[in-house]
Amino acid sequence: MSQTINQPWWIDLPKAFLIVNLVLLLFAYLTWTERKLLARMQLRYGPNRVGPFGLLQPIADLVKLIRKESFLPLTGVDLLIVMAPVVAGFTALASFSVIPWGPIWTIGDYHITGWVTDVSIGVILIFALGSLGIYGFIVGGWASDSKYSLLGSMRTCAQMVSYEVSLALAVLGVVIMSGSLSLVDIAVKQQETIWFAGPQFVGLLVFFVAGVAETNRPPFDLPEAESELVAGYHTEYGGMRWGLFQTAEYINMITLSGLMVTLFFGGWGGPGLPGPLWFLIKLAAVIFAFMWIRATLPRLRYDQLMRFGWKVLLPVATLNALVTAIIVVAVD
Amino acid sequence: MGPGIGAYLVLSVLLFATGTVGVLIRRNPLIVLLSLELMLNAANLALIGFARQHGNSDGHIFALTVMVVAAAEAVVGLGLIVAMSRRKLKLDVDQMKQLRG
Amino acid sequence: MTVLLASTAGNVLVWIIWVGAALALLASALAVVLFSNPFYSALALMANLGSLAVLYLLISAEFVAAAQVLVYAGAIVVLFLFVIAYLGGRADAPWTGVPKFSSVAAVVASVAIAVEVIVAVVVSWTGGLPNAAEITAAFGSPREIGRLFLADHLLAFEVTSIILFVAAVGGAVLGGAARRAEKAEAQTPSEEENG
Repeated sequence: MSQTINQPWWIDLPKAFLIVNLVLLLFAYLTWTERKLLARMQLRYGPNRVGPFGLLQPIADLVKLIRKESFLPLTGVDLLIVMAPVVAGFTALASFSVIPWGPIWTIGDYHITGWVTDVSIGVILIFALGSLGIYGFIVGGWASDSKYSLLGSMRTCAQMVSYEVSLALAVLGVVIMSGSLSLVDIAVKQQETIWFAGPQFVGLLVFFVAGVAETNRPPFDLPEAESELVAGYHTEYGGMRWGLFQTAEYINMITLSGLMVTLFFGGWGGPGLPGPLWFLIKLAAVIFAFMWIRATLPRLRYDQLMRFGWKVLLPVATLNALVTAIIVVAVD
Repeated sequence: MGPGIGAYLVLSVLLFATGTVGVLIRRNPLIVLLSLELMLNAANLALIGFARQHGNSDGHIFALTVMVVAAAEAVVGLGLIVAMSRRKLKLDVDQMKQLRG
Repeated sequence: MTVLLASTAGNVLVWIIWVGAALALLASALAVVLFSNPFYSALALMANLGSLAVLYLLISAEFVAAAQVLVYAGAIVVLFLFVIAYLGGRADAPWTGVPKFSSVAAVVASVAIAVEVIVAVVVSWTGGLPNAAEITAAFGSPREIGRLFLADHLLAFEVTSIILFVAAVGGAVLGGAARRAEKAEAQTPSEEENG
């Protein structure tokens, strides 16, 4: 950061509050978008009864989930069952705080930065919070005291841990090219030179595939598949507690898409329109890709999934990082 | 401006003592490994504290190396425990006294 | 005046966070050692690592704090939780009956270590531990850590990569050996019945 930023706490806190609420609103209407999009791709209408074009569907879903009975299994551990989705949701929301969605605006003497916070270790922070989110799934599955839950949660976590490695290596290429771990620096560097989606094309592919696996989206959603393990780690969850797990999953997807936009597509950069609008457009494009993949590809079996993650994706990601490092050193 | 190096050292040694008690008292090898991790973390805290004291980042490098070694040791220790349970041995360090069987 | 108030307020906040993190650290350490269910001990270790990360952030060790959460809390403890979820066994019951002589001796020895070090620290404190050195903004940043790893401590860097490789191979061999032993036992039931 070249300039000193004068942003007192009474700009910082309301901005953070606003972003959290906007992300949650985005999540709610993302469920509507997904259902409509999948429906249209499957030649049907999707929700269109609750309000015009079904736009009140998320609200109806929310009311339904809140009004459901809040039950706890008899032999489970109550505290852990209640805290597990809280941890998952908290880490998902917290990782969005370092993603930059706009430049710095100056109003009089004060600045308003286009990000909630900028730390010098932004990329690692997102991965660290993602690793903490895995705890929500492990603890939720174990504390439910049910074999399906335990097996499902172990599978989920093994999958997430495996693909996390490839995700981090894919990001390594971008970090080498930009020379910083701070997301703001990476976005600014892309706006000065070239979007990293060009030179880091392999990294982008690896990141996308690992991202789909990391967020448990189809075709990597075996742990949640109804026909396989009843419902995996959220077998014994109902009502709003299950809703909180779903919230965590969707917000993980939003954060990962935001990360992809920042790392590979230039963040908020673009001619003409204001920064946040460009960020939203790019974010929408990436999320559309996530949903398109869901509608198109069949589910991977668990052993196919693990084999793919370790034997295909990890070597490709490693090679990408290696080649990037060699080229960057050779060019300089 | 915040507590000085002495406070961090006291915290570190209390953590280390707790870990030592855990390693020596508990019989379940998993909890022994967890207490071992506590001791390693106590050493890390002391290293980082001294790094700040002298303004020298070498302490951070040392702490990261300790973290790597702790990871490697956890892998091997857990592999041993899994092998023990596969052979239907009781998970009790007081009974694992002989080299064979 | 406002600068003094602001710096005091900042100082108070640092002390509050420090005391909170220190209490969480000691409480979770005791929880790791005292819980009978190993799953709860592992979760307490996670809380311990979290409070350690907060303490590292207070001493400007940001990269180590992030690496602590990412590597230790996010991978090593997850590994522990995997093994405990499958093998843990529900209770250890270490407190049955009269405390053994070895347990009492262990506690006394640990307390003795703690007291000795605390006395040493307090004595040098009052005698004058040097004040903390001035640090630049680059202290503990990823750039500094990277430079040190690749310039001054390259040997340590390479040796840690070898250690990780050896551990991975060792883990695979241990897992494979156990499975081969299981298969061998399963295939010779007749010999065991006869012999």
